[in-house]
Amino acid sequence: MTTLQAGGSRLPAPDPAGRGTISAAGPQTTRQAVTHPFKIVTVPAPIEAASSFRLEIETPEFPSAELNGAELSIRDAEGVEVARCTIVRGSDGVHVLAPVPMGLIAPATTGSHLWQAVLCSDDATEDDADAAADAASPPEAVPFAVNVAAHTIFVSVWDMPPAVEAGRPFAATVGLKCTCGCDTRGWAFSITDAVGCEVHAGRVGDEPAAGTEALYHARVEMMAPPDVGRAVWNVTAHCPDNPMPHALRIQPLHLNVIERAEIALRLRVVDAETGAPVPRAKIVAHPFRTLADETGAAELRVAPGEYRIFASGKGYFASQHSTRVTGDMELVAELHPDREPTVADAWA
Amino acid sequence: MTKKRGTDSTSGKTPAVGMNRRDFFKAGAAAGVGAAALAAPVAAPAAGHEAGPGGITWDYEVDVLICGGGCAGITAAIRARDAGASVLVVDANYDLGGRMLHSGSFLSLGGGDVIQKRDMAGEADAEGYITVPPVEDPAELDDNVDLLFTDVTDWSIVDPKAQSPYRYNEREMMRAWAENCPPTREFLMANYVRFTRVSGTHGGGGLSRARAPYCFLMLGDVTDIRKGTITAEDAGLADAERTSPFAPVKMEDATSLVGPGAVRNGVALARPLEFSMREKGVHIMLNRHFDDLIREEPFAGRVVGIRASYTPRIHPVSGQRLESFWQNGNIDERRPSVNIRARKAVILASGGHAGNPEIRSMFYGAMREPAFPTSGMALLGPAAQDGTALKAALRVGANMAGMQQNLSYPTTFHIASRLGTRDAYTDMYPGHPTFAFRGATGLAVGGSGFEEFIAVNQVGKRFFNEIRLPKRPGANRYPGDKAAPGQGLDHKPLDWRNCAAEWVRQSYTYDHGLDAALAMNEGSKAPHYHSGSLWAIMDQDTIDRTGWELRFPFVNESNGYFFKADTIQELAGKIFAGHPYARIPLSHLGTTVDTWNGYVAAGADPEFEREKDGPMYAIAKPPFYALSIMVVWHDSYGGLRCNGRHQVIDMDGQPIPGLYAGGEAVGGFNKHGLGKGHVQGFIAGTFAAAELG
Repeated sequence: MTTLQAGGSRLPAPDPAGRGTISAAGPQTTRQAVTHPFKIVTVPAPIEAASSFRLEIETPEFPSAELNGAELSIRDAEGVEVARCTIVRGSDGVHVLAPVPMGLIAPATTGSHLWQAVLCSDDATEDDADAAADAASPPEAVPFAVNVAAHTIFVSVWDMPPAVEAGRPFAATVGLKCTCGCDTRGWAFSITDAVGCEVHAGRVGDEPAAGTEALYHARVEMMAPPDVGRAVWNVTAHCPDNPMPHALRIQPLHLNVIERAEIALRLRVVDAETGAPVPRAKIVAHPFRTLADETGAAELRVAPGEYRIFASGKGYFASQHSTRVTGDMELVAELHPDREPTVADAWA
Repeated sequence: MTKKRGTDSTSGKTPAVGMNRRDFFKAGAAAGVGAAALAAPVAAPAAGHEAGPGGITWDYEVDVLICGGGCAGITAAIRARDAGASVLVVDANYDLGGRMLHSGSFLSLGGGDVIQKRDMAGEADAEGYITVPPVEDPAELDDNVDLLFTDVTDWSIVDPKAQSPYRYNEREMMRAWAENCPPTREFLMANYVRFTRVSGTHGGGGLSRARAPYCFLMLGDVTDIRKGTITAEDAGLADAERTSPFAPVKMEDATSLVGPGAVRNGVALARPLEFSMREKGVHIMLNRHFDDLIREEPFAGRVVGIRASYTPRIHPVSGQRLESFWQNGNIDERRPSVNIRARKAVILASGGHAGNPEIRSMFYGAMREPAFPTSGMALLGPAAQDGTALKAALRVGANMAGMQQNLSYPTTFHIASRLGTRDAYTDMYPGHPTFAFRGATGLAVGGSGFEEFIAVNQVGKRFFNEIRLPKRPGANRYPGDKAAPGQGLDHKPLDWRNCAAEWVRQSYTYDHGLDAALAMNEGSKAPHYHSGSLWAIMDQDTIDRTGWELRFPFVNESNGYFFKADTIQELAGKIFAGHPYARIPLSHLGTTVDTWNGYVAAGADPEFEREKDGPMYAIAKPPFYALSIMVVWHDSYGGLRCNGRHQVIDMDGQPIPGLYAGGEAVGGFNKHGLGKGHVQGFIAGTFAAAELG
């Protein structure tokens, strides 16, 4: 009989410190000398101040200890227990916490808070000597960071013309909402131009925007800058007087500044096959846009220039037409119907 | 000319004109004795008799046992019954019809079938319902079996995705299919199916001739399968936002292919066939999932029966078991598991693998993602296309065929353009008992609607040019789908120019958006690396611009596939909290929307060049909406290998005695749907019934 040897090629040593293990990655330092059998992470991470979060467990591929059935006591930065759960190893080898610690509330102060997951029971086989020894030493505590961030302020700008005439007034609506639900009625914002000069300061009102539950807004009148081209202004919002920390939010406000848009671009949008008009077709000749009327007729006021003109409608693919516009023009846009198979066509 | 089936005078239970739904055959149902009046052995319901191999106790026995009551199964059942066999159809769902019931009824056969001949001659149907002239010219209908066989085995055809739908078809099976197309057409007509004018051919049905009509019924005062009429209510047409228990999908207008008052879809095919099957005394066991085959020895001997478990569907609101529309012939067996013996043969007609992520992923690993369903999951339930036929047959040594063919049909797996519902392939309105399993009809935006929003992945990032995302390549069928250099009657079969490199280069149109959607992203975690859910993100301006109706029944804020919020961040939070497959938060959604709005202002999309394909719109006006974008796996290609008699073949090339298969469980025929299933069921039913039992 032939005995097969283990072979000549060198196999790499198995790596016990797989993913998730908190271990030293170089010279030992006092803070990173410990290797923990698992890692607890918050979802989301970071968490907004005073918001709810849950916990998940990450385990290395070759855990240093049997984790299945281990009980955890989750304790906050003051050592108060806020949840208990058990580590469960599924049939696919993935460990999860059961029940999932959910609905935990993050502290109201930003920064990194050190919580702990304390192993409550040792499920290794015991003899009396080991049990006594275990009782004498403290249970293993796995620290994890609960990183708390300030609330974000959501800023939206809408109902603004896609192209504004240089040096002429225009209006836009600005809306503010705190992502954690803090009441934003009357919150302040300012608008600064491309070089940082303030062009508007205002406050949102106390009526939510149509269709929203609590997004407060204000209509703002501004003057377009004198130079033609793209400009990016900023809407700045922050809330220094609120008990919850709110991060400063700078939201870009995009302007396409044009010279006088005095050229009339008239379009008739029709079905390419039947010639029938396409009502309410959408016309976009960046940065200008409009909607056709019920007869498929549309008029765009544009500045001279090169345009790629798209016309599209419900049930039609967009047509495109590239052209240079120097004076009033009339165009017919023929749209091809959306050839998506109908239910009847697609099914056998 | 429609052949009318004579009144069955031997059955004392012929219903009166005008089908009464519930009181037909109620008395006979419990003991399954509907067939007693016909001269055939009955299914014996007595338990505990006759131990089979390994000491199996049989609960039922029958001549021909059919797993699956859909397109192939009902056809096989009627065929076997016509031959005098006792037949039992077992189906996991609460009602018959499978996906045939909510299909479009586009039924492609050919080879010179009687409908092609009818239209060629300019004739109407015998009942005189068809008042429009033929849609196709006689030359387009002049077909024969050899031409059909050539078409479905044509090595030279390459589709716009550079795949070959006909090259890999199993030849013996194709010859049998082509020869049996004309008889199957007549067979269907003899069982109450009425065909419209022929209009084109369905995918995988060949490039040379027009071979496909739809199935129709005429709107009338009463639903009468024998007369061919259906009420507007039963057709789902009485109310714009409701359908009916009879028709899960509203029937479509068939005026242009029949005449005024005609309606078409799978209801006009499945219900008549089901009616005929019940009338002929086939036994039916619903709520019964075929689990496994019983073979005399693991890889030798006959297949002698099946094991099947009880799988009722309980309505989530009423708590009641769903009941089939018609009851006659139903055996209401509720034991958890039964063994059913087949004296002659078992026919596997339980569908394909499209609904089972673990099995379908053998063809495309990324589709192990359970977030993406098969079509019709609400109508058909959790067992839809669960791959059981494949599993069970492989366990007794079956062979497979057509393993690459899932790549060569555009509807196999694809991005659905119906948003905001899990069951995205078809619509369904309230009024059907299974509507509660999907909760929303869905918003049909069409491929053209994708310019109106951005599409993001499970971490909230864009991943592809939205306008190109839903594009599907063509299906290589008459009159050509632009993938063959010769369109219509100019097409030349078996010609090298059909796949010359210059031609393929020129005709290639696929952008691989689906594959980008299935790609790994930063949210894809070991061990599965699932690609995750997909979302269409839009704002109020989108709604104002398009007129899309984001309200019930089209969308539903409680079904986990549609969300509305004041801010983008809240929208991301709602998706994460409410969608069953949201494994991680859409943490990048806010940045994605802000970046997108910058692109819109600049008129250019440096990531995906959207500005070249269509207009770009900012997402800025609250409220904001998220609608699910589904990848649907619809057809199953690749499956069990069969010979020309539709016996299942084993790994040594031998038929497995007593085992047949038809429909999507069978591999080696890259043809979409009904025409495949009906003929394969017809063949399987014929030979199964002819076995010496």
